Amino acid sequence: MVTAAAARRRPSLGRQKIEIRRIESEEARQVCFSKRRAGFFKKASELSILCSADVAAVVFSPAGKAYSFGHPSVEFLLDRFLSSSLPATAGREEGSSVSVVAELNRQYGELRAMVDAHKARRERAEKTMEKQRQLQRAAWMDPEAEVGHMAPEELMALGTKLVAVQGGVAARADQMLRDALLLGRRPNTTTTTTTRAPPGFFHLHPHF
Amino acid sequence: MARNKVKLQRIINDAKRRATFKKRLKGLMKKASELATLCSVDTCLMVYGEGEAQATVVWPSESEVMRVLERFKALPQLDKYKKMTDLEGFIQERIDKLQEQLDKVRRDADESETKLLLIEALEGRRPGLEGITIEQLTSLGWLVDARLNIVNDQLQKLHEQGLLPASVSLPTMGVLPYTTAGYTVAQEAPIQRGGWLMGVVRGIGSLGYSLFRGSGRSNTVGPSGDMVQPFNIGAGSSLANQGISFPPK
Repeated sequence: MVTAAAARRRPSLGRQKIEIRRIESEEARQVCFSKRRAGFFKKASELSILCSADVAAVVFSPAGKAYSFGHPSVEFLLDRFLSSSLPATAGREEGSSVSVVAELNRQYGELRAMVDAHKARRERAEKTMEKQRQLQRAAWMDPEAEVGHMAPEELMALGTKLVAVQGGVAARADQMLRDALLLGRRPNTTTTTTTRAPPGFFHLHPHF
Repeated sequence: MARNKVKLQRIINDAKRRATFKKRLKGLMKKASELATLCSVDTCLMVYGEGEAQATVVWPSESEVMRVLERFKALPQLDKYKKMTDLEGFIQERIDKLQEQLDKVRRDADESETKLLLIEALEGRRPGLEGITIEQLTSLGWLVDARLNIVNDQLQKLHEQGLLPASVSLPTMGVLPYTTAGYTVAQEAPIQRGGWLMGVVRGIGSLGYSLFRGSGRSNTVGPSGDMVQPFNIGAGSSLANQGISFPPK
């Protein structure tokens, strides 16, 4: 997701009471249909599970596409409705429905929990970043633009800092590699890393 | 309204089940009505209560339902079945959608954390870059490289425009040990340079230390004309290539 959009990711306006009448805008109508159809089917599915009810719903989209939901199946229910002389349970194919559904719902729950967890992680990181406006320039919401506003001296300073971090990353990666190799062969001596500028540094920047 | 988190399974208690049935049926019809009105679409609903021979609810009315079903039956097979689901199918669809959302949120979170890491590192609050995973380290490496590229590009642009003040001197290029051969682009890698880091990552993974050593090829990028690169991408790897002992004694 482009970070400009991330900056705009505020909670929506919240639940708003809307008037129940035909939505004029075609696009808004389609969007509303998409969401409400899903919600409608969800409620229908819950009813069928919770109360052991047979439920069928058929809906046509504004564009004319047919969406249908049915438990145990749309066909069974339509047949049952249209030829109402049939006894209730004729031709019913239950299958292993209950356990499958329960398992799927469990999966859904797990995924839901993971989504929430990662959302929290994202919010935490973004919140912490918000508190550090100045150096945000380096992480940059929109790097290309920011850089255009910076004076040459600023750019050099920033570049210097970045190179230092780069050196740190290399050093740390190196250390992790060595640790991995030493694992099991020698007791792991904890080392403190001094932030050393990479050797090429002063060679490149005689002014710093 | 997260008061009572109802578990999605058949309600055992008869009385509760019947009460829930009544309540939810009412709610379901309301949803159907709103959908039909707001979006101006044909909608119909049939519900058979537990053990009932006749339909408990036929919404909006018997004749309306017949009309909508006739419209439905008149459709070609493909159009009928394309968007038809049952319980399992419907939940599976929702799972798929959620999975997509998960991948996206996870990526966003990783990105945000990496940016935060960069900020902290630039502030000097992360002396040894301790306590971060290899993945995070790699992402950080990519991010730093990308930012350096942007800075370099801008400096070069200013140089070309003659806008660089005299105080800012642009040194000639040093040795850049790139490895670009044969590594797959990591998930967030925007640029192909900086292959040494991927070499390190692979090295750690497979303990192929020689891989890292061997990949320190020096590409002397000779200064051609006015080409300017004040900041070496991958300059840090010269640490390892020069055999500097670590930790420093």
